[in-house]
Amino acid sequence: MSRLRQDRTLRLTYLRHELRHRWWQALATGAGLAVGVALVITVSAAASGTRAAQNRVLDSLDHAASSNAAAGTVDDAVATASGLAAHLGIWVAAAALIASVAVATLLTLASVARRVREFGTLKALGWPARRITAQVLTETAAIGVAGTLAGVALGYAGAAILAAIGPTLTVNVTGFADAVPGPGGPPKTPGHGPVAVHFSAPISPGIVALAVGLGLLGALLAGALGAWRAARLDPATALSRVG
Amino acid sequence: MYKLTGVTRTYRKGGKTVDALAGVDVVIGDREWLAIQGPTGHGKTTLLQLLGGLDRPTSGTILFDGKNLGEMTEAEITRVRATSIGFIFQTFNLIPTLPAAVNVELALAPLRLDAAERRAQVARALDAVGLTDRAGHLPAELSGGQQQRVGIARALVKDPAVLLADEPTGNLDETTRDEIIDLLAQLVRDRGLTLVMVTHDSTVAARAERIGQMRDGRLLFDGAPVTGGDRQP
Repeated sequence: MSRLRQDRTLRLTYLRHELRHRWWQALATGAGLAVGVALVITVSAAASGTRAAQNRVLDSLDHAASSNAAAGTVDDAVATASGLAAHLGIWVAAAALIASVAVATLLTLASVARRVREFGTLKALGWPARRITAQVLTETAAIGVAGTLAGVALGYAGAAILAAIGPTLTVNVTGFADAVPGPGGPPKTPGHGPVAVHFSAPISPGIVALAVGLGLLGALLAGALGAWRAARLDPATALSRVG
Repeated sequence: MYKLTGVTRTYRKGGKTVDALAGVDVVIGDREWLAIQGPTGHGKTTLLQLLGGLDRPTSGTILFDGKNLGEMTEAEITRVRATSIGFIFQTFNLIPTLPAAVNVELALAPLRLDAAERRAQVARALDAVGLTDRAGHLPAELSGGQQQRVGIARALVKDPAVLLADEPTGNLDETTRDEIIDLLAQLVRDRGLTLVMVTHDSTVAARAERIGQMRDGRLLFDGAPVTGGDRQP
């Protein structure tokens, strides 16, 4: 058996026992990441759905308005609103992910702080810093992968719920003439009748890939910070810590 | 095994300089059992940490098998700890989430052993301390004496040259204390180990071949410091 394989076997044994007996800490860290990833997907889906609904409304209005000037005004207004919604969605999603990575990092660092004596003991046993780094990174990566996958599932569930409870907008294009008069005279209204616009929350594969990538990157960042702190512990100081 | 010459260790604490060790000179022979006693805060644990390469002296030299621990790189000193030095702690320092056998196996992780050999060594070490039937138990499922036996197995499993024990019976009742010291004495004798043990317990210290007293950062034998590296019988 190769040296690498031996290392991996013991590391995974260590990981398995750690996750089994400190599952609540792993759950808290993983849940933080999962919420961030889920929010990215759900909020992005909601923004896409809003944009799609607005486009449907715009299409209806375009058909209704015979005046080019009126159509242009509505076009601009709806496009601006759509853009604002999309940007707001992106910022909310980014903020959610940053917050969740920050939470995961803090929880990982707190976990390292609780295990100072453990890492000091490992150093006393002759574990080099790189082995301790690898152990902490392995644990964080496992939690990160699980949290990210759970986040994807939650994100899909959130988008499905939004689509299910989202309102169906009815655009009454016969009323368009009153709302947007044409310049220089009474508007011409062909009178298409009401158009129903169903709200949907489509999930883009690109957004899922982005959320997964950012979630894993966040877990890696949290793990790297935790591992760095664990590896640079002074063993004499670590062993003197009570608890 | 060890030769310490003029070893000092100073710390900065609260803006003041504290001399944890104020010039320690001693030779610790191969297969010797040395007990170190003394009041709290007089440098016993600091000395043990220096002997174990967990800390470095501010000045002076610590020769271990002829090599100066203070001049070794971090990788070299880590290797010495992995191969040649076993630690036994007062509070056992077992990883609470790992079964006894895995706790012992951790000491073999830095060594180039295949998995079968590693498991065989773990089994032998647990057998040597009488805990074969507790291999799968978590530390919390073991008594204090059993936990310390696991700690001893972990220290011995790599077949080190030196055991460094910091109050190994400090958390045990008298009966268990005697059992642990009997076990240590037997293992040290059978395996030809050097044992340096810090203890407050005079009964435990009396089992050693030599007793040193730490006073104000200096190691005294029979009331006087050892100089010139002469071993006191």
